[in-house]
Amino acid sequence: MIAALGPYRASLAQARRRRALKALLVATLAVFGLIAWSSYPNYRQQRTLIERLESGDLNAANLFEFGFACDEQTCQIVGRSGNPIGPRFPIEPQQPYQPPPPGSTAEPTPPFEKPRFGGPISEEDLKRAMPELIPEFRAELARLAERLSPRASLQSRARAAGVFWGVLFAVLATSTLIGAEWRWGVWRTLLTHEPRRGRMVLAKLATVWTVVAIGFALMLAFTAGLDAIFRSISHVSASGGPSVLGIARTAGKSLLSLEVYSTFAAAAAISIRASFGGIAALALLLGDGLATTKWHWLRHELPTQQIARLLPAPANNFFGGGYVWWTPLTGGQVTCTTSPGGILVDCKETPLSVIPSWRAIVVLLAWIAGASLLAWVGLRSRDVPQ
Amino acid sequence: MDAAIETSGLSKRFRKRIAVQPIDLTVPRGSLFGYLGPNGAGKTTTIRMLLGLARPTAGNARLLGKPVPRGLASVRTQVGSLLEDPAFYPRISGRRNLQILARTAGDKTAFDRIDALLDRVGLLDRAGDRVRTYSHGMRQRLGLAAALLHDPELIVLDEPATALDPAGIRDVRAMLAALRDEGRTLFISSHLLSEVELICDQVAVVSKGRMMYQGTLAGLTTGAGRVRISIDDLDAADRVIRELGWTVVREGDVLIVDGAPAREVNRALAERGLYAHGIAEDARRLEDVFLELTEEPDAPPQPPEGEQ
Repeated sequence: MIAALGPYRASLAQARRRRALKALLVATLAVFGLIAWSSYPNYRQQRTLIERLESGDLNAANLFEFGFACDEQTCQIVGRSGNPIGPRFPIEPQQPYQPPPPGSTAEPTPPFEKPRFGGPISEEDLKRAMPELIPEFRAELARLAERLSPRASLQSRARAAGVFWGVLFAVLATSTLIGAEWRWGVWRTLLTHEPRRGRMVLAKLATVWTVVAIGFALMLAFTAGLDAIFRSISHVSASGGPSVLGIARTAGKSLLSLEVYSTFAAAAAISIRASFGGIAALALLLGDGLATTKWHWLRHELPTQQIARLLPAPANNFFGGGYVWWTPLTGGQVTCTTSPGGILVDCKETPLSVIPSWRAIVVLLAWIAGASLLAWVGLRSRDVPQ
Repeated sequence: MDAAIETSGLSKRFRKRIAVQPIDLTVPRGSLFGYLGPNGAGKTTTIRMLLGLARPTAGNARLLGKPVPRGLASVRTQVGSLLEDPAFYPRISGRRNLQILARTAGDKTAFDRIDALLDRVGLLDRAGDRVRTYSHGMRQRLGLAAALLHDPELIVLDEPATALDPAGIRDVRAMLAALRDEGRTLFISSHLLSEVELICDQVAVVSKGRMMYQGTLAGLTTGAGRVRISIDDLDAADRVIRELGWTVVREGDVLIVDGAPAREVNRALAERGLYAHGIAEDARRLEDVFLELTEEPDAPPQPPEGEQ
């Protein structure tokens, strides 16, 4: 039994000594550190703003040092970084600006000259909103703090690790591990010592899965540690959040997503037999995402939709983990009826059925098995280059 | 005879190019077998097929009685191999590379042999250095150590002397002879004829993918060679030999006959009352035979009877 694990242990021992892998892990951890850091400025800004409001340092007259994002009926303060801060508050609806007709010498209609940055908000609006603004800011701050509680942030990090940067790490790590061995010609040396190609493929896949799992665990541990530090610096005191089981589930789904990508990268690296052959996995999965968007009926079979279903992106928080990603397809299918004369009579939208989680997991596991099989066939069916 | 390597109609084609024409090869156990051929003759491809790295287009092969590639797993620690331009993990040490290979094969006992092997190939003092810092010759030595890692019964070496300096070649030659004396079978592909001539007892010659000769080294270099005759009546002897259809040239007071067995020349002269006081058969140089065989691939010679 231990002898059967030989190729895996050898491969793992080799992976442990790969500098490129370590450098990649450090770079990924740095990115996740930045992501963790980027979650706190908004909270700090809002807290500072409340303190200034309560002390009277900020009032209706000088609140204009901030920007405002407004629609026709409400506004929201915008911080210097461009992020909206605090709740939306109502404003007095204003007449839209009417420019004088061309050639006219008439003055523009008061009270506005022209629309300004910050929208059509007046000091009166702010004075009116002030009594409600502070409690609402407080409530908003509490909600933010809740999202930054140890459990909530851990779950958020776990989800973020399963997409984009985490995926890049998984694909590049796999390419480095397997692709470089083709470049060095080591595969032929290994195969003369262990000619069972199936066993070698399995050993390499198991190594990749292990490395990705260790990398994932390190990402979580590292960002959890950083979160604790940043929480302390930012004076966030909140508890609660999702259950431990909920966090574990999210982490499991994220890890599954990473393992899908790493298995695809391994299959691509073994088939293409080049240093960065594994990167082809990204193109494959992007293609799959595009295909699913075009042909909805594929959404139950191809992997990207399953990942999108398991790890839905939170809105308006790009760096915090809500990367541009394929969203689960739920939009309706529109069916129209026409009269015998060809005139459109009625259109009805039927929402697409949502893929259940268990089914998404089964499909992804099947893809992992399929990619592993592809890697085995890719190695077995061709000569090993000199 | 019990064969360490046996092939039957083994051939390889890469698209339109035939790399190896069907070959029947038999390497007896305990022999030091030289597999000779010019560059591009198909030696490496044959070895790659034997080791399961390339699939034969047709035919089959057996290593230590096990079919290739299906049975290779069961003899993986009994067969050691050195491929041309051996490849290792460049960023780890030679010793660590051997440990990884030992682990890959699931051979625990190999760990205890690593330092002794590194010493045997003259790499012990550099064993802890990264392979990327090794010269080509040092990588070749490490490849030899890797081939011997599992204490194999059959050792397949593809151009083992490549990149070695003269002292290295001498060391490898001595090592190979010692390995044969230990009762192992060695199958060595090479185009360095002088080396093969010194150590091999059996040879096969391939050219352009075809087997041109297989048998003992002596069978290849002796037989229909040159005969040197010292005789009193050179003119009479010259005439008789020409009448019998052999080619003869005179070098001082010696006649040199090409392509004739010494015994027959002697008998022919004696029947005519001409008695030589010296007759010797020159063994042909391996290089001459090799060039003859490999430059005329359409006329493979038959080995002497009983040699195969």
